[in-house]
Amino acid sequence: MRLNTRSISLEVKPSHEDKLVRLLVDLRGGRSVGREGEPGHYPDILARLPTCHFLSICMVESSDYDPLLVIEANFDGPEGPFWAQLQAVLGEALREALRCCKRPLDDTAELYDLVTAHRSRRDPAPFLERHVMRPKAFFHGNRGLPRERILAEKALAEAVEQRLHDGGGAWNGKSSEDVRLALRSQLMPRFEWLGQKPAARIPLGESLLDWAKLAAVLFLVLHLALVPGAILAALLGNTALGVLLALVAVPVWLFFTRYRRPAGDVGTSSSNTLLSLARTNAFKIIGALAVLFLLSWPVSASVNLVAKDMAWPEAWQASARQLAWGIVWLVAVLVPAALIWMRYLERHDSSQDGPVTDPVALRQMREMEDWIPQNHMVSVVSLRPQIPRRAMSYIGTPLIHLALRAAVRDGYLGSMRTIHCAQWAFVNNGSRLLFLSNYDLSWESYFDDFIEKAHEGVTAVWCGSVGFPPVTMIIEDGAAHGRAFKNWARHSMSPTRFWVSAYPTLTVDQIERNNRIANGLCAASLPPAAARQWADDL
Amino acid sequence: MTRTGAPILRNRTGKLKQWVMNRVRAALPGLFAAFRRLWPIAKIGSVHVVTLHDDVREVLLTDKAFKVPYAKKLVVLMEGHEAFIGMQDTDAYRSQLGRLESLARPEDMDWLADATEQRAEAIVAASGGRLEVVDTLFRTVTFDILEDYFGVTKPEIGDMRIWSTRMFEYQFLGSDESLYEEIEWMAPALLRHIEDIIEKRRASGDFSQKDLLGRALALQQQGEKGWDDLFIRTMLSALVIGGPPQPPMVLPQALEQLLRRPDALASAQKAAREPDEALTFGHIFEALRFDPISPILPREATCDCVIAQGTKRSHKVAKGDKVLAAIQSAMSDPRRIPSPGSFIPTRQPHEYLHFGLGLHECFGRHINRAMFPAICAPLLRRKNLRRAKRPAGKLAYEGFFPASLTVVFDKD
Repeated sequence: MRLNTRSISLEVKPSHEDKLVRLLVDLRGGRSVGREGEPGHYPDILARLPTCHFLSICMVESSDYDPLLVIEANFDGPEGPFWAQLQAVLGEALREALRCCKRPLDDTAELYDLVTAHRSRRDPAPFLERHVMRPKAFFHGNRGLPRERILAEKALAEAVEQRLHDGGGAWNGKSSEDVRLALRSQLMPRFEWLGQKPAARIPLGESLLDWAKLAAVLFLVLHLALVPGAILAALLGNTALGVLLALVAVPVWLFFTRYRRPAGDVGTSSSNTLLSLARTNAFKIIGALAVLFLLSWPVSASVNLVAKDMAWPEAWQASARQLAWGIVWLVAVLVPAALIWMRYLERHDSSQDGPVTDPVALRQMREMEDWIPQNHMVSVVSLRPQIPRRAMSYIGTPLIHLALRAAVRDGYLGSMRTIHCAQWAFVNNGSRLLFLSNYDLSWESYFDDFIEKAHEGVTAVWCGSVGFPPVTMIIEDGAAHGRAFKNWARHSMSPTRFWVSAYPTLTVDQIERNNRIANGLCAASLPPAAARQWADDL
Repeated sequence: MTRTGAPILRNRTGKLKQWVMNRVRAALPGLFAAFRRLWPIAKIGSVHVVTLHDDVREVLLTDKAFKVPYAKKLVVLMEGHEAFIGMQDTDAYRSQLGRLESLARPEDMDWLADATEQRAEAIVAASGGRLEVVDTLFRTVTFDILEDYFGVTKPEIGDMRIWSTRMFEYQFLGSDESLYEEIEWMAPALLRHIEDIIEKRRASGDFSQKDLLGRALALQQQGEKGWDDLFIRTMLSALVIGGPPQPPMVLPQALEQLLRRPDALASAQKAAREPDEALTFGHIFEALRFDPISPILPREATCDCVIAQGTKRSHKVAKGDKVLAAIQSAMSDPRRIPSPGSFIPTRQPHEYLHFGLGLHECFGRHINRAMFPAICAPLLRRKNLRRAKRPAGKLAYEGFFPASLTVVFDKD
């Protein structure tokens, strides 16, 4: 069953801010069975939301905009039943929360009135559904594991641990395979599913679809990028085109060389990453351009055939020439020119080096963190207004998502594996970027991981945000300014007042370990090397 | 057949008509699926058929705009007096319901479950491995137990099962002339019988708390306001008409659905043997989702109003129009019900609408919750439970009522 990640963002009436906070605090206080202040333990909610992995309801506050009510949900299976379940669990609290929100100005206003009217009995789920946002990018650390399976494998891992503990010295001297077989036969009566072959976490069809989506979007973007060069090639002869290219490319590269380095003292150890990446992946880039050429060829030939009334051989020949020039112009002019434009913006960007975080909000955030191995964060940042910035955000974020979806199968982002479910979505008509994350360990270590192991990706996603630390060449510096990045991120965050985790004691790594133990026990037999590897997890 | 020799169910449906009714009943899930997709709120003349889960909930919850259409017939059954099941949300309604609810106590449910299970076990044990369940088990146990619980003993002349079932049919299902002729004498007979019981109980001074009548008379004796004979009679009559005929309708349908699904039957039997009462009930309730007691709940518009207002399917309803809330469709709507085609006995309570919703949610829901698993468990615990050979092993209907279903099982 596919894990879905969704969020809802609604503007709150400033006059109802306190009421909404009280509502969320009551929701938590009245239901949590953990220690005082401890989030995440809500057995009644979890029992009635049987597909939910993580659920959070927050009020995001900032002096720059009216507060936002943000509902985040990560759940298995279809959406409709989930929102109905949420409505059944939270019921009137949900309606009351909506009453604290501004009346929408779009075509959901009438529904809002009906749901929030005095003594209304109209279900809030249909209204919420109309405001559900699909994230522009999301990431799942334990992809392909439904909640039911995570909990079943947790119970199995605990039972294995108990057996090993109870057995004491009896296990000594036994081979890994003997231990595995003994445990399997002992636990089979309780865990009948051990007799079945575990379902593939990411079915082949889904993997192929991920790659196909990425390839299709990349092809579309790059193919469009070939168009300017191809049009020039259609209008000019080779000599004229060569002269024009030299006249344009030389100054562009001179500018690029001059401006590509970090300005002033913003450089960090991450500087020069983009060009290094380009150099080390030169063969891959050449291969990709060759593939692009081959895929674009029939498209371009068809256009020539129809638009210029050419015969097929002539159309193939003409389009090959146009595409070749299109690629040359892309590499020699368009890419460096776009980077110069970005560098111009980056050099003129303002960054907020000393953002002031509301001390009360900071205290509340800290009070709610680190009760359990998992934590939650919500952050909203405003986007910079320039066209290339917005284009980077609107196109780049989904591209990053597709790339992550296709390439990251084991939960590792770089070398970090601490994220359960994270998502990026655009709110307030695309003017702000919402980030929600359910992660392991403390906020400090989470961000240290970001800074040390994945700062390029983080910088790429947030470089278009107001106040972000100075960036060079889209992915360099930025988040590598560790302290400044952390201050900026904290400043953009709000306390998570209501947060539910279906497996609050498990880290991403533990879930993977439990999965390996379970998969190993499902096998009727394992070769000695595989059995030894399996036993390493015990 | 009853001890008076008369059949409990009217045998007035011709074979062809019955065949057509059975086919329509079987085709309903497909029809509703088509309606949900193509015409979610269908208007046929002045009748509106509402099929989406959200809209059905809206209709049932908006009782001010969509009232229950039971009042007219209730007046006939109650000799002109109102009963809560036909009333709008008024002070009188709240008062009636409040008084009635104060009689039925949570602790009664344990007694009801125990008594029901003992009675059912005795019948199943005595059956010798072959049992016609509709009448012999479900109807007998339900009437025996509920008559005791309500404090309404059997009449000396006539049969409570016939009276109750006929009046239930008249009230909720149909009203042809021959049925009306029967109702004309049965309704007063039931009321006189209850009045007689009240008189006798009062005369005997038996105000014991074991049944509802005793509790009501005790309150009357204490001078509590609102506990006059007329109220007690009307309420007991409403309970007798609305309550006992239902389990012999729904439980055969649930069993039929379980018999069609060997895995679900095995799982229900396991739950009954453990015994896991909640899970046994879950199996029965889930089975009923595929064939509920009523696929629709009728309502009548009290004003010009709009269903699904604020959505693209916004639909106007004129005052006086009939609105049919298709609860069977709502409970299979994939927009709100996860995997509606699968048998999942652990579904969330909000996914079921068997007892209705809102103002007129079934008064007997707690009683049914206690009795359903208790009646079925003794049968489900039997080994190798299966249908008898056809035709006895097939659920047969008389009109809307299940008439017979015979099962066999291994003797202990």
